Amino acid sequence: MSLMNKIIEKDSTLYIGSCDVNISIVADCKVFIYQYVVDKDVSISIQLNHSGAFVEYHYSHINYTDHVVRFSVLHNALSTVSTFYNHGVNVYNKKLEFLVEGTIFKDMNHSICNQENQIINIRDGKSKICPNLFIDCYDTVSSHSAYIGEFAKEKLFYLESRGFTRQAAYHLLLCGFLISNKIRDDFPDGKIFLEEISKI
Amino acid sequence: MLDIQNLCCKVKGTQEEILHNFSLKINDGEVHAIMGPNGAGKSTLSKVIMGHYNYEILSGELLFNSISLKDKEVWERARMGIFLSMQDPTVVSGVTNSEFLKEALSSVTSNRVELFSFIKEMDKMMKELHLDKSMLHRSINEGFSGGEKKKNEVLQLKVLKPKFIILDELDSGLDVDSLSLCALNINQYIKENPDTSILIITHYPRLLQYIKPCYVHILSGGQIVKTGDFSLAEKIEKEGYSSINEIGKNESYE
Repeated sequence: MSLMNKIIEKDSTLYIGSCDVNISIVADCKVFIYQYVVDKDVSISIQLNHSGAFVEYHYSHINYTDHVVRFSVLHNALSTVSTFYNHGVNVYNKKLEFLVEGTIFKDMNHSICNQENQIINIRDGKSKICPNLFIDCYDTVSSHSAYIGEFAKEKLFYLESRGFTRQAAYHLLLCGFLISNKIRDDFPDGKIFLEEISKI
Repeated sequence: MLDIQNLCCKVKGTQEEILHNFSLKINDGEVHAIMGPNGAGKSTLSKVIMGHYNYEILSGELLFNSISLKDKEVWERARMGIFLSMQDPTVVSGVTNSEFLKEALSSVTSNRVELFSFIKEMDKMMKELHLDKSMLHRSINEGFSGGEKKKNEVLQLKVLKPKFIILDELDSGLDVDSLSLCALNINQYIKENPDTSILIITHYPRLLQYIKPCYVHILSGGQIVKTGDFSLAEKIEKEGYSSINEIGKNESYE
C-alpha cells in the first residue's frame, strides 16, 4: 500500500485514492480532504500542529472483503478543528471495521473534534465502528456519532414515489452517501470509484 | 380516475384494521377533500394509494384508470401519474435537488432530459414558488424550513406533471402567505391540466378556501361517514367532529 506523506502550510483541497495517509498541518489554514477507497485496509493519520489548523475529512469506502480502516487525528495546538465524515458501504457478507481516534492534548483549548461514522450493510455484512475520543482538556467541543445498518426504508419510499425504480433509488442513495461532492474530472481514482458504485 | 371499493387494510404485523370497507370514487378533474379526527386513517389512505411498505391490503379493490394498483410497485404507481405530496417530506442527504428532479423527470417520462430547457423551466417554476435558486444545489429537504419542504413538494409536482395528486396535510407547517402561494401554483396547474384529480387530506378548511373541493368527506373509524360540499368543512371548523352524528362517542376529536 502506498503512503501519502504531506506537510501542508496553506489552504488546500486534496483528492486521494486508495492509500495510507500521513498529513501534518503546520499553519493556520483550512484543508479539505476527499478520499475514495475500494476494498483496502487503510491507515489515516492527521496532525494539527499549528494554532488555527482546520481539517474536514470526507472518507468513502466500498468494501467487498474483510478490511480495517484506522483514523487518527491529533490536536497538538490551540484552537484546532477536525471534522471527519467516514462513510462505508459493506457489499457482501464480510467485515468492515472503522477504528476512529481523536485526541485533544492538555491545554489545547478551544479545539473542536467531531466524528460522524456510518456503514451501510447491503447484505448481511459484519461491520463495526469503534469511535474513541481522548480529551485531556476542559475547554473543547467534541462529538461522535456511529450508525451501522441499511438505508432507511422511508428514503427509498420517497424516491420510489417520484418514479425511481428500487435499483435507481438505491444507486442515488449510494451516490449521495459516498460522494459528498462531485468528484473532480481529472482525478483518475475518482472515476474508478464512480464505476465501482455502479457495480454495487 | 381513482376507484376504491370496500378497501380493508392494516399496518403490517398488527391485527387492527385502519381502513374498514372504505369506498371512494374520484372522477377526472374532480377535487375531493378528506377531513377527520386524529387516527381516523387519513394519512393511511394516502400511503396505501401510493403503496407504502408499512401497510397491507386485506381485501377490496384499488383501481386507477381501471387498473388495479394492488400488485404495482411504488415507482410504477408514480409513473402511472400518481403523486403524493407528503406530510413530512423525507431528508435525503448527499443528493441535490437539481440532480433528483432531473433524474425523477427522466424516470417518469422515460426520456432523457435536455439540460438547457430543464434549467430554464426550473428557473421559472422556482420564481413562481418564491424559492431561492440555491435550493436546487442543496440536498433534498436537508436543512429546509417547514415552508421550504412543502414548497419543494409543490415544485416536484409541477415538474413531474401527475394526473392524480394527493396533498397530505399540505397546510401543516405553512404560514398564510406560503399556503396561499402553494395553492395558487396548484390551481394554476389544474387550470393547465384540467383532467387532473386531487385528493386533499387536511384538518382545517383554510386550504379548501384556496383549492375548492367538489366534495368534502368525513373519515372516521376507517370509513367515510359523511359527504358534503365546502359547507361541511365550515361546519366542522365551527362545531367540531362531534357535530357529525355518525362519529362514535369514543373517537378522539380535534
